[in-house]
Amino acid sequence: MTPLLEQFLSEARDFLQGIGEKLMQLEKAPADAELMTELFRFVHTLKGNSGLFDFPEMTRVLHAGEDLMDAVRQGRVAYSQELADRLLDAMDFIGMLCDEIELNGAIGSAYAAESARLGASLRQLISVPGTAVEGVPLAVPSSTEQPIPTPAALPPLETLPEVVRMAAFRLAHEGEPLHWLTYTPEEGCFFSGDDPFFQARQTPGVLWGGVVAREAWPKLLEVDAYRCILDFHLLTTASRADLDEYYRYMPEQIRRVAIPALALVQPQGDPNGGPVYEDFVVEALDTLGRGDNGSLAHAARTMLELSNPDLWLASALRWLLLLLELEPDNHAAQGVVIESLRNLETIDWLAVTAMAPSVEDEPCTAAETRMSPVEMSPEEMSPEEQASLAALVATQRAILGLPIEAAWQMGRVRAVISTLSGCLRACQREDEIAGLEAASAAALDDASAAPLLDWLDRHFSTESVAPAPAAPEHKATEAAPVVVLPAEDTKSAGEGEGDVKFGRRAEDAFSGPKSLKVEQAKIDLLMNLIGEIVVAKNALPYLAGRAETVFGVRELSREIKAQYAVINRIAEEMQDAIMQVRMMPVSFVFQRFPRLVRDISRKLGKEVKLVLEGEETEADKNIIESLGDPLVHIVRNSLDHGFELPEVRRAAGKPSEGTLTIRATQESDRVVIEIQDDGKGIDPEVVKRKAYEKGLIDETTLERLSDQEAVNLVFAAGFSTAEVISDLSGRGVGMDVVRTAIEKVNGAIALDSEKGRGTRIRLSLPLSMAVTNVMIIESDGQIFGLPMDNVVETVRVARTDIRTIKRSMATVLRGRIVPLKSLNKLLGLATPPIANDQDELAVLVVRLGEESVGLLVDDFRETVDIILKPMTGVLAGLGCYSGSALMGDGSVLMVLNVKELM
Amino acid sequence: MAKTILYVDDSTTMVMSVRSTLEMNGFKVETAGDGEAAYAKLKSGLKPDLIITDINMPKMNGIELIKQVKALPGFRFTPILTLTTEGSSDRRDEAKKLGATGWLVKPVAGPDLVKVIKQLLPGA
Repeated sequence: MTPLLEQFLSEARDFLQGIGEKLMQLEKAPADAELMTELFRFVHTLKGNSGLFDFPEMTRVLHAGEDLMDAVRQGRVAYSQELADRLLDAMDFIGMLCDEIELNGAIGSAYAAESARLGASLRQLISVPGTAVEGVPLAVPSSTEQPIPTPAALPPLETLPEVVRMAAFRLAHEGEPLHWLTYTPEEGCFFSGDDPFFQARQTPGVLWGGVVAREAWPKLLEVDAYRCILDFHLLTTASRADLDEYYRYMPEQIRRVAIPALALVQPQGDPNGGPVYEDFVVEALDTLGRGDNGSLAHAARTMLELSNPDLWLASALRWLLLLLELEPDNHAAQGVVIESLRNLETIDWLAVTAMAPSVEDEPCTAAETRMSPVEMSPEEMSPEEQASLAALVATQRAILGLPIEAAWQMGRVRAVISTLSGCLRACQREDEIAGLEAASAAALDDASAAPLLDWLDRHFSTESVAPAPAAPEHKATEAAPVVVLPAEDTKSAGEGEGDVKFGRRAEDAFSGPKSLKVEQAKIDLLMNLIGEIVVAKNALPYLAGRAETVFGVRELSREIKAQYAVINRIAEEMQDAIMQVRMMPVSFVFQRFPRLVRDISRKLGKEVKLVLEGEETEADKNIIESLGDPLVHIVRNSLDHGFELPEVRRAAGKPSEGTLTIRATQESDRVVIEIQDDGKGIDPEVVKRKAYEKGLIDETTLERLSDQEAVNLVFAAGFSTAEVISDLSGRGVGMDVVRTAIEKVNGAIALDSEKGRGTRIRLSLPLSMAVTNVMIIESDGQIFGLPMDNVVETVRVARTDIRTIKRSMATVLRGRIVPLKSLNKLLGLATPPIANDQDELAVLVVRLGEESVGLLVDDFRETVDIILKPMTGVLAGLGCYSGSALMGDGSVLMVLNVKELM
Repeated sequence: MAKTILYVDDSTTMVMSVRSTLEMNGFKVETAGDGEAAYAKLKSGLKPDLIITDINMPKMNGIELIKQVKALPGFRFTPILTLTTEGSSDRRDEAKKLGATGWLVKPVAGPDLVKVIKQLLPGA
């Protein structure tokens, strides 16, 4: 059955079911025009689909059904019970036909008669005239009412200190635009490297800033420090364009509201028992009515001098004076301020002047505007700041006073110290920091809070930290800004909930078995799966790219990228975790050596002491296992050929007992294993001669080889230097087997030896082999991968800097000659490498043993994590590829094997 | 470059059939299940060289879609074919009046469809 037919059948069944349901609904509401249209559409589409195939029996019935429904829809035929019955009969028949098709792939001729009968019975209903009824009343879809847009509420400006608002008011009168900006960073912003606090602080033209928690703080234990739930509130004089420019990468995270200057006019302070200024109000309004600004100002000034500056009255008077100065003709506003003395309520400017602030959400286009970060200048501490400081200090005191287990004390003390020193710095009391440090040292020394409490008592007397002056009332729902931006290091001291637990208290009460025995197959499965995830997630950036370039939905693209970052992080953590499970200490292989060395040295009559180091070094199980045989081979070799007999050693002035050291260390993401003996070493001359005799090297090479290169010839295939093939090693296979085994797991092997002093073999292996990091390069329109292990660097070399030396290309990189090879040529492709606009060629410098070689490619692309699948079948013979991998978009990436390629 | 065709039909079977026909002939095919989805795709930046639409669809029918598309900036000259089983000529005429370039009757044979498209999209 073709996929198309399969699709048709499954869709047909859906439609049949839909038709049945609609008919049932129509029974209840026969006048429903919408249902009727739906029903018609189902039959109609089903008929259309059936036309794709050669099922005349089916199409005939459906066609009749469609015509009938069309007639019903148009009111030519009345809907009736009878009609529904016949239609249902017909649809049952269609269902039967579907089953038949599924079973036999075609409709048997037996159904032709039935099909004709049903078709006719349906058509019969259409042709009966006079059954038409007057038009069925159509249900008119009720249009939903548009909600009346409410004017955007003014931000909680009254929470700002009066000085700030007054300064802003003045600035507004000097023609500066005022904006209230709410910046809501993404919750995961820390993972994308954002610094919202910095971003907020650097906002151009900031006059005031506050931080507000987006939601109630969870208990300390449950706080996710990596989730940003803070909103930043800023009052700025920056223009809309400046703000848009500054926040251009996160337009969806900010909300700006233009602030009318008058909205800043908001008296606040101590009501002092309630409104009792009726006389003053009446008089002032009277003076105002006469337009005598001078007298009014005079009266206000006198009144101000007489009253406590913390009172609401004083605040209102200050505003009144400011208004008289800056807006002398705005009697209405002045009146409102005076009136506010009657009830001491927050002035609702919206109601008074109907000056709805405009939320400007349309993106700005002025990209040319320059932003000028304005440093916030620390000023004298305002009462609000003093209140915050007092609250902070009180909280720290409370924290120190809480009962605590000794184990957590140090952490707590440190936390308090950093908070306090932050406070001091913020309120410019740096001179006191020295004192704090002394107290801190004492506190840390005895792990006790007492010295800190003492210091607190001395520097923040209880009076100065006494309950904060009654803060101006805010709406209860609005969290008060808890941090004043200029205080860079100040931390919010939490809400002081009584049940916050400081530090973990849970004891490790149960002492059951702490390890699990798991079958290796299960772990391997996990490993494979996570490997697949690591690769599969790579499809997301590709999708994001498509969302943007193909579908033009940048928003979605960004969301996909954000989600990718999360998945990527989790996948990496998960991979690490699973790899940790697979990690085994090298002692697993090392443990067999003491016995092995003892037995062999006995047999050979040699005295060898074995030293094992770094047994606890860990590596992936596969790596450890693949290490076993090569190591045994190396050790045997060393015992057999390396160490001399005791008398020979003594004659050479060495201790009769030789030392064999096997040392494991971890170097970044590789395990390095060194096997060192203090035997006779390898004689480069002997090796050279042997290699020459065996035809491994020619005469000229023989002359040219350095000693180092010569000893490494032991790794060449078919090389074995033992004069006598012993029972232990040198059975015709030599070090080349070891090399092959090590290279199979992506390892490297190096040997250096000094004649008479000993030999050192160094194995370097990856910690794990699940995922390979490859760099993608482009050449002749195709992409190839190259293991990052091989890549030294990527450079662009101008064509003029490429010299031809002895018919091969080379260039000079940082004073070293690097031979160049064209990847196309190596792969047998005819096209020359493509240069970029500056006529520079892309050179990928790869490591080839000790040498660096430059590969000429067309372009560099990104690096990706892939699961390298070795080539199988016929392709396995292609040595220049180490394998292939599946890319995010489903294409296959061929990964080059640099060594073979060269 | 391959020409892009937007095919709008509520029947996944039809979509599958037409898509494979068109793709075999080297077109890039985008699809939508109803007029609304198609309109959304066009609004979000899809710029097909040709639109083929069914008439009878849920949410927004083909007639309405043609009307809307013709009003979209940049789509005034995008050819629109209707592919429908609709027998009645009045609907056809309505589509034509609204700016449909032509109509085809379902089921349409692959070669016929391609022939018509090639007439509409020279160089395809």
